[in-house]
Amino acid sequence: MTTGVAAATADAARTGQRDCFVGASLIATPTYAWNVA
Amino acid sequence: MSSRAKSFDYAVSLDPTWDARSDRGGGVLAGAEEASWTPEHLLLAGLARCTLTSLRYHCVRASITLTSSSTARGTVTRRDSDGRFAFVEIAFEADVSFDPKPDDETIADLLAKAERDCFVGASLVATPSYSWNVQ
Repeated sequence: MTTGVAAATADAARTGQRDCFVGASLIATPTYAWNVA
Repeated sequence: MSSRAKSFDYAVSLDPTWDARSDRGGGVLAGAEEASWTPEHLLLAGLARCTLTSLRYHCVRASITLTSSSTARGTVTRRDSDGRFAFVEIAFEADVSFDPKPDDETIADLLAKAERDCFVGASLVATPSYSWNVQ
């Protein structure tokens, strides 16, 4: 179950990064660090 | 012998209400204004201010006083190259006047340098279009 939650969190983070219009508009790909509480 | 380019660092932080603060102090950009000051508006404001800052920098070097205002508009849609939603068109327009007013060749050179040296514009995948109304 924990693995499922972790996978869902990682997927949400990836989606958040992918769908950011501003980040997608930049030549330099931002690095992302997520501290999940 | 290679020379290292000068570099400039910037940082902002968002608190849990998404109030934004600059690492250089100054006022708070209210998270409550997110609906009107979207991240995309902030990017356009950054481009506009950066371009005028770049122009002012070159005017100061030439002992010219700049008066300026500007608008920036952009369109976000699915990009053909990778399918991501991003800015695909950005248009910058400015009204500028110079004191003293230099000749046309010098003005063209100043405007070209302003476009070239704007850090924000240079960081975008979509190259902005620039329109200058010189008074």
